[in-house]
Amino acid sequence: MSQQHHRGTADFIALRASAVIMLPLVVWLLWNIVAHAGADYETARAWAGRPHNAVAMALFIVIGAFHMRIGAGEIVTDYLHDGSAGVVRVLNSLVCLIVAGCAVAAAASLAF
Amino acid sequence: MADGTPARPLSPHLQIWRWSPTMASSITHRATGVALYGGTILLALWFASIAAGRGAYETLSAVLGSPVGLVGLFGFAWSLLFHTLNGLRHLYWDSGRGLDPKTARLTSIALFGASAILAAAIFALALRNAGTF
Repeated sequence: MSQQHHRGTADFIALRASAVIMLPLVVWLLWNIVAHAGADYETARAWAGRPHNAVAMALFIVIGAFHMRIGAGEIVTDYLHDGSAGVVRVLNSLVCLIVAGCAVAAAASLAF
Repeated sequence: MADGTPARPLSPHLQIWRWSPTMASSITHRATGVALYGGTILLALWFASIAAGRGAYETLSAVLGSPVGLVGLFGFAWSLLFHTLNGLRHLYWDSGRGLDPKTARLTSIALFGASAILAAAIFALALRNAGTF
């Protein structure tokens, strides 16, 4: 049995809390995709250089990474019952951490 | 009894259940979650490409604007809408309401319709703004 089985309640709450925080960010992202689709580099750079856009984008990706790490962990719990589960869990955490780190670094360099 | 004993029954899985809207929406929630895992990685790459400079951004934009890229973007938009709307339904379910089979079936069908219509509308608006049509 992995550690996963000992923190079901914490994961349940964290998954839903992050989902609620994502709601306005999803609306914001879809709105901005519609408004800026096909933008050239200058337009995209100016958009990402405004702090509120950079922060919202970083938040979307960081909270999204937090949420998807738990969700993917649930799939591991459901389908992987051999030794590979631990490795996949570590890989999952690593990917999510790198994705979140990339977003924060990009936001910092673009707008601050 | 060792010989001739039939294999013990496995728990029913995708191949054996008769498909129903509630089952389809449950599976689709997980599938779109997996799609969004990939989509979020791509989104982070796209965001980082702006910081990396013109060359990286224009290369990635060309890939995303190709026919395959556009199909992927539509899949991302629809997945995001389906997963978000069904996430709202899950929060409603958490309150103990909306769980009876009839309501769950109706909301499942509505969910597929609403997410497809919204994704198509958003995609059409985005393409119009991008000057693609």
